Amino acid sequence: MTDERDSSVDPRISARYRELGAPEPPRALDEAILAAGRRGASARPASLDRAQRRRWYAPLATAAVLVLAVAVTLHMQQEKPEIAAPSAKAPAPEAPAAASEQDLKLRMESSVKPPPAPAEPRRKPAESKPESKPEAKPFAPDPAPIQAPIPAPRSDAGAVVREEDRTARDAAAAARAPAYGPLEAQGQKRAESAPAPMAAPSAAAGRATRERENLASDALASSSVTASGLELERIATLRAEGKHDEADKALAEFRKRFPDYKIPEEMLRRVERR
Amino acid sequence: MEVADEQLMLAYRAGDAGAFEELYRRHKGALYRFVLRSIRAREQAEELYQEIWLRVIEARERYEPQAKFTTWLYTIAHNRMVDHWRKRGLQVVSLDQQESPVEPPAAASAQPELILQGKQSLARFLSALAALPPAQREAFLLHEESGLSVAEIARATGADEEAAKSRLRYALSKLKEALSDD
Repeated sequence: MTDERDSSVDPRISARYRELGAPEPPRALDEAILAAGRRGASARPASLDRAQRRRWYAPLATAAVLVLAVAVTLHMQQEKPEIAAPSAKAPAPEAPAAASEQDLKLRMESSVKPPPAPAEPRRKPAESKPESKPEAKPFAPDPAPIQAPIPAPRSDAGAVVREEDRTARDAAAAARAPAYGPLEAQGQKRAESAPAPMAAPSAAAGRATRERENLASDALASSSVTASGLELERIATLRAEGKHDEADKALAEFRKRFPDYKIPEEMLRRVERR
Repeated sequence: MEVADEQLMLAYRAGDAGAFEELYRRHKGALYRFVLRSIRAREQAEELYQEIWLRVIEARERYEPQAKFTTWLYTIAHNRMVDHWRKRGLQVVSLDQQESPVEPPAAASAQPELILQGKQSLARFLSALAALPPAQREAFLLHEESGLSVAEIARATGADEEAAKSRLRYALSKLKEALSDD
């Protein structure tokens, strides 16, 4: 480097340049710059602290993200079986019990028109149910109709979507719930199942209806009636009303749906064709 | 043994104000002359000189001794000089081979005593220096005042070594002509 410089510069040029003199900056300028330098030195700790803090940002952020990711993963793994259960293992019968109160109300309103002054709101619709709707399903073991979104009287599309989500969540939660549902839910199911048996006006049907009502009342009182029990009651009612084909079909469907369910002997006599 | 510039700058970065004072004492004269002889007006030169040192103070936390402190200092000075020339509508590179506009060099007018004393040869040399293209003058001043090598000049000015070498050679050639007139 030095050789290169020495070899390239004529010494006379350097000497002549030196003859131009060596002016120095004014003292005031020196003082101003040195004062700025001192201020910069005294301002150093804060900036250094900032730099040290900055060094922690990346590792801290990485650790936080990792912890969050692990927590979310674990949470999802815990939640997954519960979410999957309703569709895989817990089928229809529990789902109706899961329908929200509003859904049930709307269903009842759409399928059954109660009389003006119902003394017993759960029985009156059944008794006064005209024959004009014999095709009305007394009991809906299939959860689909309940889970299907009932058109809400709202113009807000987002609200409708939220309502559907809520209904689905309710259904899923109910599917996870024990077979012995709350008393109110059982009563609502009984109210749902009431109209159709009343469609047959025969004496046998009357007896069957009373019998069914008694049984249902007992079940309601004891709060130990399961969805499968209600279904069997419905089949027994059909059998008693002489609708053997429907009863056979319903029984076959019941056995298909609850293959492991052992029907009590007394109930078996009532639901099987004799 | 004298502490190296780089160590002083690191000490200043760590908060040692005395280190900055020592650095300033070492380099103030050369840097001042470099700026003064590159810029036509003393007032502008002093303003630019102060800005350069303020940049050094501001940039102290980013300083890493990857090269000589002198190279780093004159890189800052070069950048400020380029900004200055841009403001004046000049471009260093495009004027590489062009003579500066023929005006009475400020450095010469700043030292009227040279003329008054009849030192015509010095005045001619000063005029020749002022007439050099900015890039060539910068290369010569960096070489003479700060003692930078061609490679270091290239680094400080952001040019490749061949360009820096060429600029320095042209500058020396023209100044030599001014000497031969004596």
